[in-house]
Amino acid sequence: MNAINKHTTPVVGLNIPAEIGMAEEDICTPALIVDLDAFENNVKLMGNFINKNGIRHRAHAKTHKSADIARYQIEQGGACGICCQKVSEAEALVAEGITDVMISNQVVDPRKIDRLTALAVQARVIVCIDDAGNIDALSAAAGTHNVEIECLVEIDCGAGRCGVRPGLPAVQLAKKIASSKGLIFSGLQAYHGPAQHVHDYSDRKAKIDEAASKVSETVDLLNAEGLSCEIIGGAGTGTYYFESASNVYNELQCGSYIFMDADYQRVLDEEQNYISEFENSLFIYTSIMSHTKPDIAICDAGLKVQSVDSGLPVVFGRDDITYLRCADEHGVIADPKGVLKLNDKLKLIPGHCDPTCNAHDWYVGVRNGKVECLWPITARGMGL
Amino acid sequence: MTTIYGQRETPCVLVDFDVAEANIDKFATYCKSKGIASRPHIKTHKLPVLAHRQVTAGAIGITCQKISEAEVMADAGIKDILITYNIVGEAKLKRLLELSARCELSVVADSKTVIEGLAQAFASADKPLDVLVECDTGAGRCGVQNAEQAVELATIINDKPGLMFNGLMTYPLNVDQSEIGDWLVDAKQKIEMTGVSCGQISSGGSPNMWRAHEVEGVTEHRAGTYVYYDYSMVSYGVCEITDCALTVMATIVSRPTDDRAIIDAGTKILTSDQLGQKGFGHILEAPDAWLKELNEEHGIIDLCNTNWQPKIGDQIRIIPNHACVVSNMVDAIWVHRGDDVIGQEPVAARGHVW
Repeated sequence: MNAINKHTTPVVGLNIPAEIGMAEEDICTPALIVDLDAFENNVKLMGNFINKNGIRHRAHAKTHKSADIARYQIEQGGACGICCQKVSEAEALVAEGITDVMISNQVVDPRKIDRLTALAVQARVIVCIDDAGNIDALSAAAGTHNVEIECLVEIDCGAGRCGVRPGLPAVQLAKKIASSKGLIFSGLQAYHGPAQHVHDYSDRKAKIDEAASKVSETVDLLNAEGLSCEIIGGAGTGTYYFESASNVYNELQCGSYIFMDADYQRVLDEEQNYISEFENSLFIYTSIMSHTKPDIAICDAGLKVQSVDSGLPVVFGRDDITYLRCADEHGVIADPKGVLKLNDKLKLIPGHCDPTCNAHDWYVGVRNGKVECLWPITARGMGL
Repeated sequence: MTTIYGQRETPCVLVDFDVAEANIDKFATYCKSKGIASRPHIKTHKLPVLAHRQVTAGAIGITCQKISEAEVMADAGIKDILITYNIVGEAKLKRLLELSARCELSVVADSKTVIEGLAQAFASADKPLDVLVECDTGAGRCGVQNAEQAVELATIINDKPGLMFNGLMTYPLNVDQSEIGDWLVDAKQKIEMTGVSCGQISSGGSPNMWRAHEVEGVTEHRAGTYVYYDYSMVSYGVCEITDCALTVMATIVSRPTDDRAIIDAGTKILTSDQLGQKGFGHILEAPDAWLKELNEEHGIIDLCNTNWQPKIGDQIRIIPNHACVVSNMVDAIWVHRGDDVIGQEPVAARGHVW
C-alpha cells in the first residue's frame, strides 16, 4: 500500500512531479516550477532594498510554506525572521530550523494557545492580539510552559478585517499585555491587505499614508504611557516602499515578491507602468491534453492546482493564446491561430501565488532547462 | 452537547458518513431501477474507503480523472477503473501500461494523436486497452465535435492491435438530457454502420443525475459530487441541505464590529471556487448570515441580516459551494456519524494531479 502514504518512496508521476537532473520538458504536469535565477534575484533585490533603507524585513512564509525558501530569505536576503499565518505553519517551519517567527494573526483556540506557547521553548515567538480576553489566556499558557511570549497589538488601519481601532483601544490592550505575567508588549501590527492590490499608485500611497498616520498617532499615545514599540510591522509586496518611507514602520512583511503573480502585475508604479522590480519566478507547468476544436485547446491545469480568487492565470511569454476558464482538472485555452499541439508545454503565471502554492506538495526548481532541486512545501495544508 | 463542536482544531473538514452512505445507496437504487450501471467519480472524495463503499452498493467500478489517482485506488484494491482524461506524453503512457496490469482499465481519447500514443504504449501489452471516444455534446471542453469524427476515431482504435474500442463517453451540460442522447445515439448508429460494435455509452455529472435515464442508449452514469453534495447542488435543486455530507468547521477568531465576524477559514480550505453563488458557502448555524468574502486564512461574515451574534471561540460549520475542490485541500478528513465523531481518514489521493 505504498501509494497510499505519500511520505514513503518518491515515485515520479505518483507522488512527486520530477527528479533532480531531469530536463524541464520531462517534468510531470501539472507541476509548480520555480525559475531559480529569477527567484534568487528577487530575494537579493529585497535584501538590497532593506540594507539601503535601514529597515528590517520579516519575510511572510504564508506565500511559500517552505523551510528551504525561508532559510534562503534569511541567509541570502537579510530577513530577520519570518511571519506565519497559522500556528501549525510555524510549528512545521520551526521543526526545520527556523528560530524567529511571528504569527501575524490571532490565536484564540485554547489548544492552539497551548501549542503556540510550547513552541516558544524552541524559538522566538511573536503573536498578534485584538482582544482583552485573549491576553489572559495567553498569559496563563505562558506560565504553564514557563516561557515569555512577545505580543503585538493589531490595529485596523483601514483593512476592515481583524484589529482594534487605532488610538486608545490599542493603548488599553498594550497596557494590559505589559502588566500580564509571561507576556511582553513588543509593538504594533498594522498590515493593510487590500491596499496591496490597489492598482493606482497614488490611491495605494494614500491608503498607506493614512494607515501610517493612524499608527503614528497610536505610537505617540503608547510612548506617553511609557510603552515603546520594538516592532511596528506591516507592508506587503504592493506597498513596502511606502511603509519604508513612512518613518513609522520598522519591519516589512512581504511575501509574494519572491514569486510574483498575475494580479500583482496589474499594480501600477508612479509612471503608470506595471510594477516590474520583481520577476515572475513561479509557474504552473502544464501540458496541452486535448485540441478538438480548431481555436480551443485544453490543458491539464485546472482548479486543483491553483486558486483563481484573484483572477485566472496568464500564459507566460505568449500573447497569441489566452487561458479562458477552468474546471477541476481542465483549463480551457483560446488558440485563435491553432498553434498549439498535443503535449505542448506552457508556463502559467498564477492569478494568486499564495493559495496556488498551498495546493501543491513540491516546488520543482529549474535552471538552464534542468531540474536542479525539489523543495517540499513543508507547511502545505497546515491551516490549523 | 455533541462531540462535533469544541473537540477539534479548526479549520478542518468533517464528513458525515451516514449521510454519504445514504447518498451512495439512493443513487445506486436509482441506477438499478433504470437499468443503468453506476461508475462513480472518486475525484470528489479521493478516499479508498468510500470508493469501496460505492462498489459494495452496486457500482461496476469507479472513474478517476488522473493516473496517479487511479494508482492510489488500484493499490487500495479497486478492480475496475475508467480514466476520463486524455493520457498524453510518454512518461504517463508508461505508467498507464503498468497500471493496466493491476486492474480492469479503460481510458478515453478524442484525437488521433492521443490514440497513437496509447497504441504505441500498448502495442505489445498482454491484453488490449479499452478506449472510449470522448464526445463534446455541448459542454465545450474536451471531446470530438461531431458523429463523423467519432466514427473515424472508433475505426482507428479498432484497427490498433493493442486497443479495443469500447464506446462513447461524454461529460454533458445540465440541459435537456434527451439532446445528449440524440447526439450519442446518432454517433453510435453511424459507428455500428461501419461494422464496429459500440459497447458502452457513458454519461456523467451530478446536477443531471436523476435524469440520467433520459439519455437514450446510456449504459452507465458517472456521478461524483453526489457522494457529498454541496451548496451549489442545493441551489440547483438536486438535493436538500440535509443531504450535504461535507462541512468545513471554523472558529470565530475576531468580532471587530456588531455586523462583522471573522473566521479562521479562507481560500486555503474553502477555495476560491464560488460556482456562481453569492457567498462562499452556507453557514449551518445561521443560514441568514452571509459569508461574503474570503482572504487566504480569513473568512468575513456579514451579520447585517441576521440576529445571530457569535462569540470569539465559537465553532461553526459551513457547507461549501463546491465540495470536490475542498477535499483536495486537506490531508485528512474527520469522519462522523451524526453527532459521533469516529476518527480521521487520510485523503489518500489528495494532490495526486498527475
